[in-house]
Amino acid sequence: MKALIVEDDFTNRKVLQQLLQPYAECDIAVDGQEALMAFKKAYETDVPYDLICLDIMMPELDGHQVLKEIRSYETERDIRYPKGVKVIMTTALDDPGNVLGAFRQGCEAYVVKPISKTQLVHEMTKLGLIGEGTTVGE
Amino acid sequence: MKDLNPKVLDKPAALERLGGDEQLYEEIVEVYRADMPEQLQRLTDGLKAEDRQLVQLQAHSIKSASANIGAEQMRAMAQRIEAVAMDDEMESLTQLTGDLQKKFEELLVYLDGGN
Repeated sequence: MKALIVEDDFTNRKVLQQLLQPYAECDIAVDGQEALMAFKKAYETDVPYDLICLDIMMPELDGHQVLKEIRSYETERDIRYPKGVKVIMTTALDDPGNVLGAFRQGCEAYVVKPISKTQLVHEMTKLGLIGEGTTVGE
Repeated sequence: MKDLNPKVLDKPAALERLGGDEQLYEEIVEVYRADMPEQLQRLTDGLKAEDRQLVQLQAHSIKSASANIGAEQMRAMAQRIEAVAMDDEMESLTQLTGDLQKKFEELLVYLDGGN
């Protein structure tokens, strides 16, 4: 599996990177602009991401805007569910409006920070990204 | 308010979130220690510039990073700053940020003292 971690905080990046390591080959983007660049480049070079872990609260381009751009990029190319990238929003905001907004914009799941391994693995399993005993390259 | 009296460091809870991986926990604490001074500096810069949005975002980042390692007092204080960043007097925000800075120094002493 190929994953992109979008996170502006260093500590959060490290946590996600380490928790995803057994399951995915991970790239990192430190802000929304970089995330969109990475997403488009991966798609254009025919090695799209299977999963994007997307932080909501980031300076400049936030997670909601990035998600919107991703989905409109996919729609323009007729990439439709379930073929698009799976997006898990990562958020410290327990504000239901924020999460609802993200679902409306087309995220598949969300995990609340501080991120726990159990929660992350549970969501990835539900999305069919991993099965039991899945490791990198599968 | 669920945490009326949060712990300096709730390592067991943080460790559990990481699937009990002690080495990973230590790595994350190292990253946190290395990164936090810069984060606190950015918060102070935001205050000096009276850029409330930056103060809020920066407090949010500190809250989130602190939660990862179980630094509950840091998390709670940063959360407070995030909550009042748009409305409180700058003076009060400066006071809160000073407290947060001190709390980080206390945390460093705590971490160095073993636990």
